[in-house]
Amino acid sequence: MLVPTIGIEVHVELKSKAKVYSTAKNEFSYEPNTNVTLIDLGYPGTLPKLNREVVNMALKAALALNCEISKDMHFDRKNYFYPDLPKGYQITQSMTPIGHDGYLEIEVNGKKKQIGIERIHIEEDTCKSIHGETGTLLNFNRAGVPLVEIVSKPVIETPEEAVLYLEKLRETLLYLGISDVKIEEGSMRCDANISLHEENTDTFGTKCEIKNIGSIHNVGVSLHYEENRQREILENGGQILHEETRRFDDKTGKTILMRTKETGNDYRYFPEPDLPMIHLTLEEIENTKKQLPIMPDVLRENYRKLGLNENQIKTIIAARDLCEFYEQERKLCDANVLANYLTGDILSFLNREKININELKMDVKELEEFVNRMAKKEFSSKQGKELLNELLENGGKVEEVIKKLGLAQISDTSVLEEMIIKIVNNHPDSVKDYKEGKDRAIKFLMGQVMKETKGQANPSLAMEILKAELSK
Amino acid sequence: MKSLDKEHVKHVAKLARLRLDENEVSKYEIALNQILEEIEKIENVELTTNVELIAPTENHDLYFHDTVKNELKRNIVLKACGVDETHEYIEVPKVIADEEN
Repeated sequence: MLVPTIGIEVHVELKSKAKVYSTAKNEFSYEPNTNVTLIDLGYPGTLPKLNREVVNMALKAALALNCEISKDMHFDRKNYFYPDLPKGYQITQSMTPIGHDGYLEIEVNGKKKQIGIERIHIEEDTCKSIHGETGTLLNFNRAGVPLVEIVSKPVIETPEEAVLYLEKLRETLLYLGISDVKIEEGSMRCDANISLHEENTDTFGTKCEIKNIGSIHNVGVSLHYEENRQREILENGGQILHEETRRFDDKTGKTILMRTKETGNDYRYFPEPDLPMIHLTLEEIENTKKQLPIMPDVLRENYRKLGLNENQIKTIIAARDLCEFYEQERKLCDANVLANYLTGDILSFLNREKININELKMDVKELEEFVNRMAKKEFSSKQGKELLNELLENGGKVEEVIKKLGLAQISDTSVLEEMIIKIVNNHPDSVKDYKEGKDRAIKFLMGQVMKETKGQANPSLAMEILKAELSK
Repeated sequence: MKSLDKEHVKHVAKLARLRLDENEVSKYEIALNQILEEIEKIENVELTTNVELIAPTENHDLYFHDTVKNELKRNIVLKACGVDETHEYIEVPKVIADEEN
């Protein structure tokens, strides 16, 4: 039986302030050719210098991907001639990638699997070309933007695993805070390669590479298509003769041949003499390791222990700012009630208003108070919703909003007792039903309490008194 | 040893879209051959060590620390490339190529 082998290459833009070899701004701009220095333009006689922050960020990624670190590094020139690279070569790391032989753990159908990382290295982006009818327009804002390229080992066995790997990689890099990792904006770009070979043999088939796929979902779709295409050729006695580079067309869901692939030799790699050697000390590496943030896998475990459900965990971890907020606040108020509101009403509000959690009008101290009072069941969930909405819309103090909305609670035991005794006496049938084990009866009586108090009875206290009265 | 003749010069000029007259072809034939002769000298360098030379300096760990400066004004960039200063892009002859570039 023919089985696929898949490898994934990912380019990720790092979000340092300056570019990797020049002091130009590393930032998206709608004004073309404004984040540019002489170095980015490849002017003869200029010399690059390495941005230390880029090394720090790449080191974090290498450590988070469990890589061996190259303590002695240099850069290499990858030579090719094209207008997007006026100096005629890209400065990259070929021989001494900052990290190698690491892994990333994914969960496939409930089982953990390590996907080997072949290498992670630092390089520069090229300038952006726009091909028009009469000429090609160049925008050098992107030239020299720092990238890390992360190459997996060819150990991915299905398109689904490829998708899980990419989702996990994206999440890891997001939590390291070194990249925006937005595929749709180009700050994360994926190429996937796939070949088929007979099961239980050591020789791989001839692979095809699919370039620049626009979403993680489409990596799965394009690999499925390519697997079927190759399978059809091979099972009908055909051969895949050359390594090919193909492009995924998301409108048709098919891959299209771009060119047969060049090999590494065509790039005439050689050491970059303009950048001196780099030596990373053990101390630097250890310090960086200590500074790594808590990673999503650890957070997931912690949240399971707190009793959050899988949907809540997924929602909180998917948005880093939400997760940071939760991490900070969960220690200051009831973690479960907070998770409920954060992934429910608060998130809906944020999405509706198109703002992030740090832009809320509502003071965090008030949110903590709200959560704690809800945890004590001081208000019904309907009242809680009303109260929270007002706090989210207009801010203010919990106590004041309670008064404003007329939600002040009746928590006076003697007042409630008097009222409940009256209700119990007026509904002997319900009391009888309750004593015969009909649960509906207590809900009915509780409804009467709420009706009488216009919803202002402290629900947990009222329930306590009601149960006590009924057991008499 | 002469390894490059007039035909080679014309071929390279054609690839580089340069128009050369016969005098220039002769001039560059000599100049390019001189360059090649210099390169041939490298063949005679005796390699007594296997240590790979990466950089011509023994200094290492020379960095800058993520500061933004020395950016050029766009009109200056464009002017130096021979493009009208009021434009936004540097324009080159149409390139037919792969999308990823």
